[in-house]
Amino acid sequence: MTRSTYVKPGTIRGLGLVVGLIGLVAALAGPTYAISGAFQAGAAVVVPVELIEPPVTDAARTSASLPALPDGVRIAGLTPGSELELSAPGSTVLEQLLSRGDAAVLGLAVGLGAWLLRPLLASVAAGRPFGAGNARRLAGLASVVVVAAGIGPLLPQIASLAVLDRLDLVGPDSPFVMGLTFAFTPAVLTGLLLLVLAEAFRQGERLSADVEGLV
Amino acid sequence: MSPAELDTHRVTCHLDRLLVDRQMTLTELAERVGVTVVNLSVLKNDRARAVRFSTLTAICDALDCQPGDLFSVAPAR
Repeated sequence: MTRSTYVKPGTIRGLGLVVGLIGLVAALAGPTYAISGAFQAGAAVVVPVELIEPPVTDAARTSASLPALPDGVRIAGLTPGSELELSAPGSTVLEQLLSRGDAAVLGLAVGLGAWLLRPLLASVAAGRPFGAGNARRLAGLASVVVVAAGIGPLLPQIASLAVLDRLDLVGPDSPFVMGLTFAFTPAVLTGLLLLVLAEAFRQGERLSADVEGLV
Repeated sequence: MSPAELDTHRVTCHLDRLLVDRQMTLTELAERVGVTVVNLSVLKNDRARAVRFSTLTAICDALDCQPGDLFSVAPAR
């Protein structure tokens, strides 16, 4: 026995509205937050850092175990379990933009994702899930997820390198890790799953075209 | 098979003639067969691209005919 419906059309339409709203807010808020950073050039910029020799235990994360830093430069996130962040005064526009770049990328990705998802949800609500273009939209969403997850986290790391370079904390004697770290697996997996879904929709579109005109 | 290929068929439906012969309306046939009038109209006007065997069986039962009475293939031009 099959269920009559898993989700009612009205619920899907409501979800589409919420997705659209979230997308709009994110697409505006993310880049706005990043651009507002540009107006704070000269003030302190906060960037993520990683120590080459991290404290062995959370309890050892005290300022005493940290390297000597230039005047005004502080390391935040010393509470157990939190990420280390470097706060440095005298920031440049580029540093501020890059340090908040992940928010801009996330906002734009959510906005673009919502823009792709809304018509898809609308067509599902209308009983035409395999309408033309839905497979393409899902494949686009997969690309957005992978690209955003790849680029977004890199920007604050690039900002870190720029800040450390300005503070002359680069080189073989630097206590900080130099280079960029990727944590790509969840995003690639999500993107891959979305691509599989896109392929299912592509085949559904073909089947739907086949039964058009079937009596 | 692409939609363009499907549109190139030369099958002609003779449902209108059979309905006249049986003095039956499309609505009556739709009720007997359990298919919507819209779908039967699609079939009657040669706009259908495929017919389910179950639909064909029901139509033949209702009109007391064979598939060959319902359809013919026009000669190639």
